[in-house]
Amino acid sequence: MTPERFEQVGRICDAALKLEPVERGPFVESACGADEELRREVESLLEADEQAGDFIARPALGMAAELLEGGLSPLLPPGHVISHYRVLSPLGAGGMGEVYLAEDTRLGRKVALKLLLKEFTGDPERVRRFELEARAASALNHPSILTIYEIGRAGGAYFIATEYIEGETLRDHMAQGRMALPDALDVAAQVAGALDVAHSEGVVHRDVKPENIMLRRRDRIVKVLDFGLTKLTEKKTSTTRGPSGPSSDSTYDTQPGLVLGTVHYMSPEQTRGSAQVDHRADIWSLGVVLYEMVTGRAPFEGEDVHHRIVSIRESEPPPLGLYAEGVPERLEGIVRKALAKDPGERYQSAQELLVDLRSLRRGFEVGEELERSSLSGWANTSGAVRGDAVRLSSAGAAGHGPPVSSAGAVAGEVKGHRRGLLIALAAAVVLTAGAGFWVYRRLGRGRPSDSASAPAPKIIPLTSYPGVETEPSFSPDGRQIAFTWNGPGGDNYDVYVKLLDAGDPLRLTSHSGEDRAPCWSPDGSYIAFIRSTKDEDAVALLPALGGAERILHSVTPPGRSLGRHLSWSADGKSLAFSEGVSPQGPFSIYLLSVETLERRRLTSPPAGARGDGFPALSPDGKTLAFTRRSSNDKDEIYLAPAGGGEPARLTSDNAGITGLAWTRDGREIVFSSTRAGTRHLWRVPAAGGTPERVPAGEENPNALAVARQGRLLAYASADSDTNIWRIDVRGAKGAGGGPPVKLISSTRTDSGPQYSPDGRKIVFTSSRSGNLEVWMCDADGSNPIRLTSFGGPHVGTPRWSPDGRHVAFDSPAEGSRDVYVLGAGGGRPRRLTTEPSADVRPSWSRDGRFVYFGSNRGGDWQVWKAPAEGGPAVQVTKRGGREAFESPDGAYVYYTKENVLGLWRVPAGGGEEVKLLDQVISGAWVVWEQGVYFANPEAPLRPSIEFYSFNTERTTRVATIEKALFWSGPSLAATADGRWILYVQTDQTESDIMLVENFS
Amino acid sequence: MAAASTQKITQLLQAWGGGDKAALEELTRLCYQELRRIALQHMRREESGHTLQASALVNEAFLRLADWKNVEWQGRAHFFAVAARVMRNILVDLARERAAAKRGGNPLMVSLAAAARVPKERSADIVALDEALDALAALSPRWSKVVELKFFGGLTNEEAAEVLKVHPDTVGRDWRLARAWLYRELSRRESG
Repeated sequence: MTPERFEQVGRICDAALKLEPVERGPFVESACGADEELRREVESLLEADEQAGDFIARPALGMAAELLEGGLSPLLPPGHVISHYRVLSPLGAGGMGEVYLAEDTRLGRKVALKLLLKEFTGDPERVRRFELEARAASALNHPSILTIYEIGRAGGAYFIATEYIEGETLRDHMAQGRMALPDALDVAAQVAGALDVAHSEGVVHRDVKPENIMLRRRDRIVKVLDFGLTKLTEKKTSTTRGPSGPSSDSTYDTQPGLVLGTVHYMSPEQTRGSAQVDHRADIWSLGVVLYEMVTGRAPFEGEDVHHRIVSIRESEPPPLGLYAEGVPERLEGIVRKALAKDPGERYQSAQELLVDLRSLRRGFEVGEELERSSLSGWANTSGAVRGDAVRLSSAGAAGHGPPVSSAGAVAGEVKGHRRGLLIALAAAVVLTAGAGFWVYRRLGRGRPSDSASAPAPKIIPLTSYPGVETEPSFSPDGRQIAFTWNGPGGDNYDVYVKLLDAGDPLRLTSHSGEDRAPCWSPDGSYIAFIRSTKDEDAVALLPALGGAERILHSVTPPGRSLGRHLSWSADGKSLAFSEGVSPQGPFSIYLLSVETLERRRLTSPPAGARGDGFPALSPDGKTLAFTRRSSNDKDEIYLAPAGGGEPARLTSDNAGITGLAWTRDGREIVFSSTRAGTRHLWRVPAAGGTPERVPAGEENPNALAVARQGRLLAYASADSDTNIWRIDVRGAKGAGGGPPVKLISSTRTDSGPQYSPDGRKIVFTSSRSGNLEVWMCDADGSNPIRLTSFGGPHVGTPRWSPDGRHVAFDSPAEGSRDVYVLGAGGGRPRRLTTEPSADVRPSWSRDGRFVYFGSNRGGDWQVWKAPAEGGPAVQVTKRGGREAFESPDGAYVYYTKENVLGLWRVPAGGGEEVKLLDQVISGAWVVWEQGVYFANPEAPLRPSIEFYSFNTERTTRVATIEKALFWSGPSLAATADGRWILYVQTDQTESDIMLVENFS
Repeated sequence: MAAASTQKITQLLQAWGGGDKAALEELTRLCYQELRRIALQHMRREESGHTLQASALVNEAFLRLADWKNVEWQGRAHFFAVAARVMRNILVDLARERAAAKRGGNPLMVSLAAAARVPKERSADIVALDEALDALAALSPRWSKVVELKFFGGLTNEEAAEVLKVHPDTVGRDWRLARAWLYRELSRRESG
């Protein structure tokens, strides 16, 4: 049929369909005339129309949903390799995935490998929750909790490798009939022991059922599976969950749309979908399992799910004695108590239940009746594994001794069980088998001092994510590392943890504030960290396995009030941290009790010093190491008795320190220092001596940590590219003139720009020659020339004199930081200030006669001014000050303060100060003719540049910077007419965490 | 889904528009996982009383796949057309993969598409329907397109009319007869 002819068919059909059915026949006949074929086609189509009913009437999307939902993966063939596991044979399938027997090709051992279905891992949030739970579960150590070797990803799918258990599930076992009482008690006691350990670690199983309990053939040890896995199948407040074992009609109910689930073992609170489900739900479920083991039937029956749920919520189960002989009243009581509807009336802990089960079990053991029932395969021995686990064996392991008849089911099972087994999957460790082995090996190797030939240190990158990862802290077992990272978006610091050699980092905090300086508690259960929000800085505490954060101590103003470093006391009861004594005062080390929140000051830096930081308590808890920063910004390491006492100086380096930690043996201190010019890792004996280079950390090491176990050191290696940008704000009217231009750039740091008074030159600092020096270029960024050649000490804050003939700047070239004046054509700088104090951030009076600067010469930071030609300085501010600019008319001095945001002014001739603005930070503001430009530090990574008008006394936004402003130095300048703004932007900041193995 | 896909989606759309069939396959592949995820979410929501809005499903997949405002669609109609086409591809692929799964093949790949609980007759239907639609397209491209838009894309008559630039009534007529034609075609195949 041709399309043309088909169209004809369509037209006739269409017309026919508009008629009443009775009229159609005659119409078609006349329309088709003698064309018999046409008529047949039309009639056939009209007939089909009548028959079609709702054929494809509903969109295919519903079908798509069904197709998409469907789920079992096809079997992997033997020999298929996933990661480093080779599939040997399938073991079974469940709602969450398939389980295979596989061989770990690295370690040559058998494992059970479970592939998780995409459905359960497609939602990142759920995976995250699962991982959190899994972390907790993986830490569980109990012979009756299945060991997880690894959770990994391959081909986009998650897999879990666990201990491979040869045996059967309790479900299979129970299929052979009711269990003898002592056997049932043994199994229940072991499960209770496993639950007790898990609960004490905050892990609730939520899906205790016979399918999740395995009996190992070899020794009849009970293994509880799938701790933590319920998180994957759980809806937020739901009670449904996936099965982990084979389903049978009697135990599973399927509801459309629900993940397969069973309600038999669900507690009443779970059937209500209560969010309040806690560990007592597991106790209920174990009660059901125990009931079933003894009686061979479920305690709560019902025709369907709904009746069963009603039964669970309302019915009392028939006494066990109704279905089994010789059930002691005590057992009835135990089951009754485990199955109390109200969780408050249940056993409050698995431990309580365990005690009762054991006590009852012992009664059997000594009873003659028991002797007769000869529980050879199951009798308890006093040598229980690890105390809590009751081992299911007596004379000889079950596999050895001949089965005794009355324990026929058991013995027969032991010998003759042919079925392959189901596998055990407990919760998920994020630890690879490789990592576990690796750490184990390393721990076993002994300390370097014990061995004559310590292996050479090996440096491997631990993180290499975009952005800044820094401030590492090892978990006490040396397997994991906590660190802070500003995230994939580079916009917010949060605390993350990661296994040393496997897996993605797991985010532990997600607060909008900056979460920094994580520090793992000695027992591994907490991570302390510093949180800076726009309102305050705080010392906070986070359960390492996830949970509610707790603020222990907070200080205002935010941003600079707390040092970014924490240290736990050896007993885990206190935290050492660094805090400013007062907004203007130096930093001191404090000790904070985690329990009482009492705060004790440990150090008292001398007046004028910048203060003490990087507190580090020695492994034995007796000594506090810290850095003391002098007035001229130089750090030295000091040691003091941790209980308080006079500190002693350990180094005489006159350098900058950005990281500090004790070695594992507490004999030395490792630190990152510029003591030899560029930054390196060094170590110095705590007893005193000359620091030695650590043969690692060539790449600008900063924060660092030494593991308490294992010969491991971690440090953050930082690199950044900071450049000077120009934006046209057209006289601050907000009608920006085009995109910003990168005006002055190198691969190093270019900062501290200032326009010459005539606007034709720019002076700035740059480290492009290897050291920070003063440079000058044309207003378009061309013709850079170097003005200074100190070749080491960092110069800063170059500022033009009003006549454009001189440049003032600060530098610690001759000890303390001082103000120098240099001819704009170059030449030898003249030192203007000579006090031993720090004199910083110079700027000129409009008449060129004075140079203002910030100084701590009086004990705290104030603005001073000295005659440009030399001579004694006079104090300008009374209530704090650090960086000043005189107003263009010379009437006022505008200034910022130390460690506190805001802009103040005093009349140039003296008088009371007035606060003008709240959001001004030193270095990020500039005064010009009509007002003040400043970068608002509220959004430090994407700050706005604002304009405060002297006329209107109002603030307007003139531009937004796309990246982080370079906040740590002078970073804003403007032409005299206010049209052009120079700002310093950190275009790229990278910091990765490096791991040094074999650090000794 | 990462915004990085946006550019890629645009490129694929352009390539497809230019006749590159592989581009559609890639588009389908990209859309697939997202769709699967959304479908599951919808079904879960359905339990609590929400219904699965068919046309919303595939739209949502696209929206999430890329920031669709940044993808260069040639208008809303273009979007619907692509969505329906992709949906058709996905469904047919799913059905085919299900069949393939039985014969072996790449297990991890197949596992993504396995649809174990769907009766096999129904998945066979989809493949047959797909073939019949192709046959119909040879006779009347518009009828075929109407089915694709309405059945696979879940569009209303009005939306389909917008895509095809015809009156909604025309879509209604085409739909009715195309359905009849397909029904007859599939019945014949079944009996033959």
